[in-house]
Amino acid sequence: MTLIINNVDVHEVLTMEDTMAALERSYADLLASEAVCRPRIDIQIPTDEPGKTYQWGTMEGGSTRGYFAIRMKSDVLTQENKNGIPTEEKFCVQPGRWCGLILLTSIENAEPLAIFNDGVLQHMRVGGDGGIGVKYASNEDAEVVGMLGSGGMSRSHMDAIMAVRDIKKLQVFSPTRANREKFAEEMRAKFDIEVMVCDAPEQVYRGAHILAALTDATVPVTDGVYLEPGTHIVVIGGAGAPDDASIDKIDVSVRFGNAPQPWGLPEFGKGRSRLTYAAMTEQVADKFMSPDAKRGGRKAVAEDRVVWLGDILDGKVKARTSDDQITYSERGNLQGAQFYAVAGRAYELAKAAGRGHDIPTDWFLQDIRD
Amino acid sequence: MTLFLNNEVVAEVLTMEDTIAALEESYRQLVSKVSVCRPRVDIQIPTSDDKKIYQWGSMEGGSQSGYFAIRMKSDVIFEQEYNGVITQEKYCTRPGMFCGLILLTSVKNGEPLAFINDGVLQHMRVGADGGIGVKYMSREDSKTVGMLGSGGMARTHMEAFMCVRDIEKLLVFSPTPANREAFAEEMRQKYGIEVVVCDNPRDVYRGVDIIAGVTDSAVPVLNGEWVEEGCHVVNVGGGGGKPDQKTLDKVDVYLRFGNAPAPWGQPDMALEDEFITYAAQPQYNSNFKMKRSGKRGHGAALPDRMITFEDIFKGTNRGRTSSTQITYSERGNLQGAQFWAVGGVAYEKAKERGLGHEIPTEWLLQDIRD
Repeated sequence: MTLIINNVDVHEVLTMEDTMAALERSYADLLASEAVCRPRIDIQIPTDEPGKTYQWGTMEGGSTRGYFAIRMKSDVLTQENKNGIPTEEKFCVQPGRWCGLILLTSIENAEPLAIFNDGVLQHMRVGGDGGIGVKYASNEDAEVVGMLGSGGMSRSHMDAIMAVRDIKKLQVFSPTRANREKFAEEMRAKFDIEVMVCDAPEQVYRGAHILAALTDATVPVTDGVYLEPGTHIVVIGGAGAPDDASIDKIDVSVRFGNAPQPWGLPEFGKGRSRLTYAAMTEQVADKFMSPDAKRGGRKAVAEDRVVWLGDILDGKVKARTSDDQITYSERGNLQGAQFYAVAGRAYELAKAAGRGHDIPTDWFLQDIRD
Repeated sequence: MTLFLNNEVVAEVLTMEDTIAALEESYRQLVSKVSVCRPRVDIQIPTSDDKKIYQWGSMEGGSQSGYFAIRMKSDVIFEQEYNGVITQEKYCTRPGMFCGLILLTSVKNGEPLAFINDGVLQHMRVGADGGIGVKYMSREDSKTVGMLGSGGMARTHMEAFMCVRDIEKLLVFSPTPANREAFAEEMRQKYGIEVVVCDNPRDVYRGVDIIAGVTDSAVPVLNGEWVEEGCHVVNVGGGGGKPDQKTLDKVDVYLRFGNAPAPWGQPDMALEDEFITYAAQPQYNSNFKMKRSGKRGHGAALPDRMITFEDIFKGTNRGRTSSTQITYSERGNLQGAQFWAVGGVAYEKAKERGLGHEIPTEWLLQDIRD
């Protein structure tokens, strides 16, 4: 049987520790060429409604340890403005619903093992990466987190950061007061730490050892002017990078890696965060294409100051060489190396716990070859 | 509800006429940028058996007219020698079973509409391309077909040729006498045409207007020495999907339907390759004689004698200009433009007739956004 595993199942069985361990192993396997992934590829197609664009996105990868996975997203995008900040909104079928699926297969016999909703796993793998960055680049005695954002990514990042550092205090800002207060209360109760709810974004930077900007804005939300010496920076959303003033201040930029190159194409998509193929003319793209797609994805932040996670794991270098350095970490275009690793672990745990809907594997198979 | 459509359903609802019409429309839309596709991307990972490799492949595309589709293949591949000829074999879960799936979505609202087993559709779309090539490039009075191969691809190609030309006679050869006899009898019954069973490949070329090599051989099966004046050449499989060099040398006009567009904003990343491959253990050669590992897929076969559908649809070059020219057609790396178009027709017809298994679409959606 092929399992359909939903978000409640994943939430019940998968821990942040599992997630981070699976990711670290996958990154090490990638360096050893035991694992493989490709950059994210998107397709964008205008719908028949002005301003609405269909976006399909996939990430793929697998390893000789046994699993392969593709993650697929199918959503309609709109560019909106929330509290003066441009954001990207999306839905599938109806507002408040999204479609993100992971298909996990076995590399030993090619069997489709499971289809996952990706919501919980997606937040955990992104938070897990934030935690891995904090683990290798922040000051070891880091105990104050400044956070911009109070949504799902904020929650998974707090899980990950708590797993690797002895955090005592959180300072949080997000534009909607009710959201930030609710998040603060939840973090107090969950981790028994001091939480300060800030009324302005600049307040979160004061005395913070870790700055985490975790929003769905399409423009940078960090402000380098307020960054203090010794801070480690994590950014999700906000065009996927810190603002220029922060980038100027970064001493060390830890990058987990780049996807390997396809056979015979040493430059194809090298280091790019994504590639977009679009059913549009230039004129139509002005109205329908999202900003990141238009840019053709982006390359490494502070490329001239990059330290590779592989070299850190091998003990060749340390990310941080002094307490005062400002550090930054990002995954690079390895998304495809995440889903087989984390979903593979979640599949084993869900199966052992008897969770998930069964559908006949034969529905996916056929006796006609191509 | 999301539908699961198996091969019986597709065989029942989809005609070759539908398939040819859907594909022609899709190729027209690509020229006007109303639709889009990307090149096929494969992932290869060695299994624990050093004679076998896991191979995942995907193709994607969609259109402003309403559908998007991804086709996914998940198989274990290995090589086998039969009567001195090496063939590539594959299976999923167990010998005789294969996994090829199409996921069809709505561009309008992102909805996952159907999973479709690709076996029947796959053969139909490849046959239809052969037919489209014949329609635009063979002599209009073509009456005789020579065919090497008597399997599934031979059947769909005959169906497609019969749709676009008034065929009166078929000459067929394949290595196993029982197979070619059975195929011949089937074609006599189905089309009421004269069928000559040849006991050697040479005779298949004599006096034919269309020569089709449609096999799963790992080496070229066509022999250019025997290709006669005025003939139109179709080739599927046979070693990298290209005819032998002697045939290519004789071709006067080559119709390549087109190339997948470049990713947005990256014109230097335009590819002609039939596929690109990302591999774990890239140094691994797996004792594969076909040695696809390490190679790029082929691009335009004859750039100096090439026209595309852009030329034909825009009226700048109509292809064949004399009845003595030898012509050759192939799709190019537009596989991603086929599945939304043909899958969309199969879905509409199956839905109309209430065919297929249903699963709740809600299983594939979630209330957590990324």
